[in-house]
Amino acid sequence: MATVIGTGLKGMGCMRAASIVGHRQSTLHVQKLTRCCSTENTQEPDILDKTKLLKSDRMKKKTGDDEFIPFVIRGKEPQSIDRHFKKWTVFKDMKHPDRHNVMTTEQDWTKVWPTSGVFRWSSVPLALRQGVIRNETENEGIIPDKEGNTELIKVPNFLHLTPPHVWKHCQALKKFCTPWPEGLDSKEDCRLHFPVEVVTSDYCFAGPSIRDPRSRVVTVKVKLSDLELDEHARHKLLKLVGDRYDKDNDMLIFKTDKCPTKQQNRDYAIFLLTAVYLEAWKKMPWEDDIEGDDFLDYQWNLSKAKDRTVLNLMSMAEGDQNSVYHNEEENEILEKEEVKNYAKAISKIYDDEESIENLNDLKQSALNMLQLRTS
Amino acid sequence: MNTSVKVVLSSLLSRRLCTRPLHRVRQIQKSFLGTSSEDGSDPTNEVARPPVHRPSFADSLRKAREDAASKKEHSAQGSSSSESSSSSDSSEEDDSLLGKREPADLFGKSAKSRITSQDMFMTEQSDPSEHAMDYEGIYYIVSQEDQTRFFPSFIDSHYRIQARTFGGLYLMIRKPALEIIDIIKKSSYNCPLPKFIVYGKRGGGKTSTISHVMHYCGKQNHMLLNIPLVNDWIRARTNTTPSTSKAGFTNIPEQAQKWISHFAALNAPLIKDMKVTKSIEWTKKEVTEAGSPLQSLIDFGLLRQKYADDVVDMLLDEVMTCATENKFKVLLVIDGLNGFYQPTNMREPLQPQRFIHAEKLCLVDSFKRILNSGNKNVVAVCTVNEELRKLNERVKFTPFYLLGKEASQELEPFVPIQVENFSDMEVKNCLDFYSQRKWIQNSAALTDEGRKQIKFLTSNNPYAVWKVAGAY
Repeated sequence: MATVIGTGLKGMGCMRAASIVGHRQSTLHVQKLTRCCSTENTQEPDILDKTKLLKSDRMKKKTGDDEFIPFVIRGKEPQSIDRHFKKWTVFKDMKHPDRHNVMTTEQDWTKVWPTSGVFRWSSVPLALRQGVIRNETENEGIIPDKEGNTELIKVPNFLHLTPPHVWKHCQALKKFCTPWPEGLDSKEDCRLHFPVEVVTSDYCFAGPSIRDPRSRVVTVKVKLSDLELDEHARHKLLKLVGDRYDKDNDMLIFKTDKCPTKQQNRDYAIFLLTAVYLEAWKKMPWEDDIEGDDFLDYQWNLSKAKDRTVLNLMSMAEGDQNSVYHNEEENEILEKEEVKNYAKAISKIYDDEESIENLNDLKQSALNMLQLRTS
Repeated sequence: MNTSVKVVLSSLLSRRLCTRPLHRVRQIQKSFLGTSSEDGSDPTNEVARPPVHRPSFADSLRKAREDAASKKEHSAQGSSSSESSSSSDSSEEDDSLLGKREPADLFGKSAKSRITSQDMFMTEQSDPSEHAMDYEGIYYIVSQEDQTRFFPSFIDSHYRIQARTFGGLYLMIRKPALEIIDIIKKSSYNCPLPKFIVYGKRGGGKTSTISHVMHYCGKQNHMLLNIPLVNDWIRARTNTTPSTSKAGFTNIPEQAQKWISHFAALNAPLIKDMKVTKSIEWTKKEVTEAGSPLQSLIDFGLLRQKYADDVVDMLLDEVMTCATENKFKVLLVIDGLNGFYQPTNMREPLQPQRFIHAEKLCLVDSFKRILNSGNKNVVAVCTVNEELRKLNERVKFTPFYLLGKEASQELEPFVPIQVENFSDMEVKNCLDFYSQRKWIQNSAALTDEGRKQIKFLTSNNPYAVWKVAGAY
């Protein structure tokens, strides 16, 4: 039956629609057929529900024609705008208000933002703006608000490390701490009593493995002036350590990460320090042949310039009996105050910086050394 | 004013000005001075000269002449005495100039009438040996005689222009030159003398400092060994030939010839008495025998370009032997000493894929020998110049940076002398001088505001002041 009617309704095209329609229509048809066929008065239509009857009556009134009841398919005609709008407004009313609007001023921030996370505009009670407008017409010339702003998401935030957070962390860690040892009031004291500083880090996170490759790195720091060294040993040690020496802070820094565990790396760093120190005190026979350029600082006494200068001064003294350098040996000339000052000024230029001040110093010391009188 | 902005502006400006083509500057000169000396006709000159200032000069000159004439009539004295009284400097020069160049003489004449104590920025004392510390910041004129003798070909094109414009070479007496002169005066020449290395920013007055010293030493009958610009030797596109006398060295004969003629012109009176001490056989036919005058060696060098480098070497040897025999004192003046210690732009004659290092040039080698000889009676005054370096290697203008470690060790002990930019007093004198010489044409630049602007634009750099003031 249903299939018959379904085919009769051409143009519907939709089997589902046809089946639904067929179901309803079939009942109607059955009713009509029975009405037509039977001579007796038909019973009250109990089988049909009230709504459908009402609907058909309404349709009758509309058309004013009892013979044909138009078939209404639900959803075929577009819904009215009013209804759509109403639905939307209802939905909007149902939406939760933004958290920052509801938040009180006594809100515990650590509960809003317990851990580090991406910026959520709805829960941050700050009037933030971020982004770029290309011209005055774009966004009415105003930099975009935080609401739905993706630019703010890109920026790393520290909302999980506010003073209340830190305070809470400290409170939580307090029970693991031991009292600070007495007599170590300043950093200088610490360095005096514990000259070797070992820096390691532990990493704690939720994951399948508790190991972290970064935790094996060990840094051992020692101040160079704390080590007992003579001039040769100091120079040799600096040559041995190379760029592990931090000139600005006078620190030796050994950073080891070659071994798999922290303990092994630590042992290795300490071994390096010991080996370098002991090696620095040894003196090999070939170390006597060292030249001026091998030193880290400029050594005027070992340069060719020294020979030239001494020769110059000696030949100056030959012509002038009043000269300070008259009848002096090379060693004696080098001991003179003027020559020492000159050497100092020259090395300053090479070691520090060739500034105008240093050059003026050099000029004065050179004039003094060459015994040139100026007014 | 923001100082950083100032620095940037001034650097931009100086760069702009340094790249300004010279021929344009010369054009300005021509229009400023009048077309040429040969014409001599007044109307053409009047057209060429700026209309505002010229009549006043002509008037003043006419007045001065009329006054002189009236004085002559009244006093009925000899004409020569009145002329000599009117002009403080030598009157002979004036006469010689009058014949040659009228417009320049106009300037010279008007200037001379003003070189008195009235002008605070000028001194009459043209002898540099008389310059003391209290002369600092004042201009002096190098007399015409000295100019032709000590500055025959000008050290710098910039100075040539200035001298032509102002009708004479005016140099400012500045502290570094005074210092060097003071030291040279007081030191005894029996022992090796120090090398002075003059350093400073570009356009700061290094060249004028060494020319002042050169003038002083020339006056004291020193032998002057001057290299006007090392740049000519290491940057110029000249012929290069492998040296025959020194293995592995290269000759630049054109430049060597140039230097020989420069040397001969500078030291003409001293060369007269000199004799060659060693005989040298150049070829079978050409022999310089011992005892022949030095002039013959110079002539040979000028005639035979092939041997010019060796002639320079020999000349320097002769000069050194004379210096050790106390015949005269020697001043070595090199502008751009750091050019001796860096690669050149020229390719090696036998291996064109390689550039010659300046140390491998014969000329440089022979000059370096004098520089490091430690000989007595020899003073060296050199400059280090950042312009000889490549554009990306001009971080500092200080001597140790520009010379490099090896070269500075080789030159030790030397005395570094800094040439700073103008002080306030010097810049005031300079602008006074320029406005009096009509180098500044715009009246706006003569006001205090204009001066402030010039100072701001140039940050008191002498060369920039010259350019900016000229542009006004």
